[in-house]
Amino acid sequence: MGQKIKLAIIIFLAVVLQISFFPGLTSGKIVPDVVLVLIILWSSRKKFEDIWLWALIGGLILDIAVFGKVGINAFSFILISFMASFLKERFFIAQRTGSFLIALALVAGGTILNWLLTNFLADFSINFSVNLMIMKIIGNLIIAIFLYLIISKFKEFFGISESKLAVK
Amino acid sequence: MPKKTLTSKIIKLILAIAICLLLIFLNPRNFFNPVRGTFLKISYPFQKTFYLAGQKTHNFFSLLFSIGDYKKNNEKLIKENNELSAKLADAQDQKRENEELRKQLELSPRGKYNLEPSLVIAQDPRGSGSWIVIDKGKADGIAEGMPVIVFDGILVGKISEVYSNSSKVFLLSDSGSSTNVSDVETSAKGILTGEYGLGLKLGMVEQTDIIKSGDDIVTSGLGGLMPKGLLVGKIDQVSNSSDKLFQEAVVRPKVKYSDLNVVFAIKGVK
Repeated sequence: MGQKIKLAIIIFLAVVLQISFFPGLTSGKIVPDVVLVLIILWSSRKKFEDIWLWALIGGLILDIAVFGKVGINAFSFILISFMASFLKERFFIAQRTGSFLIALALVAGGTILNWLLTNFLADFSINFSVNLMIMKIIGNLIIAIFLYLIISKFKEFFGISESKLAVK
Repeated sequence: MPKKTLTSKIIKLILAIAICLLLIFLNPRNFFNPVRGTFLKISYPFQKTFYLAGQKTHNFFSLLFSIGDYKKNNEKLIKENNELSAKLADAQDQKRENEELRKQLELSPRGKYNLEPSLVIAQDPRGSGSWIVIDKGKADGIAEGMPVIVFDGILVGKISEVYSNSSKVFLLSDSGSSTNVSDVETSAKGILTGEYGLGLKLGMVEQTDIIKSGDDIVTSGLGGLMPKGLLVGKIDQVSNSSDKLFQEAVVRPKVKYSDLNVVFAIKGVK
């Protein structure tokens, strides 16, 4: 129960960072997807069965906080979490030493997919801008590096029990 | 991977996706308003602190990056200071003239409205300049539809959703925003719409009306709670609509919507 409360607090703070701290810091230009990055990093360390509910909750809270259609971010996070977890287990299992780079690759891929999904589901059209997308990926990668280091340092707090990629 | 685990994984995925798709397509906006209200109530102190912390960090880094330019700027400022001293006398006359014009054009003067000063505590993270959240709500007398301005009567948006301690402000640059406006100099009327956070567009201006680059645009006071004479921006570029029936123009906003710190909700006329 204590662990669940901790995870809920982490998601709540990530949402507040995304809608209040970063828009203030960057004047609303490029705001990193803190919650998405957190879900991807979790998915690259935990099994989908352990993370899907948190991806759903995180997405729903973000949808509510950004006054958008409820379900868009939740849908995107669930799908990305599943894909990150699937890719990690199927293809990256042998590369134990490269988990950091793998996590960054998943964040970059997840950012693109999230962008496309959330844009499409918001008004069923895709407003694509390569420059904005690149900036968004860079922003998310910077956040991912910070979060990766924090998660590695405080594994237990973030609910990570194993340090290396492994499939039980 | 055991087949059972894979099946359970797929079931969870399908279940979660089904819930999300149902919510997206049914889009029960009002259903989630109480949840949103509770979220805003809980997150209010965090949002306020985090937004201010973000801005202070931004200002700190801006200051660091600008140190190199200080010397150059200082020389420039000395030169400008001399020029400004010469213009000061002229400005006194212009001030008097400005007050006269304000009276004639019915632009909103200071002190005319009952204003509620509010801090911005969150904004659209998609960077589309669609909305902001302010730290005043129902408890402070804020109501839906109230115009939101900055300092001297410059309109930035209107209240779209009100919660106990905070409110969502729909900015003029949002693609769904629509405001009745008029040209200060020619009195030509039109409708101002947002351009997906990129700027403002003046449309539905009759071909017989005159609008030109550099003209100021103010609210016309037609429809809703919007008072007459709130400054919006300046006409930048005039063109014809695709069907040639109307004129349209790009309007340059008077303020940068992404840099808003303090805004004022107009609660009524004094």
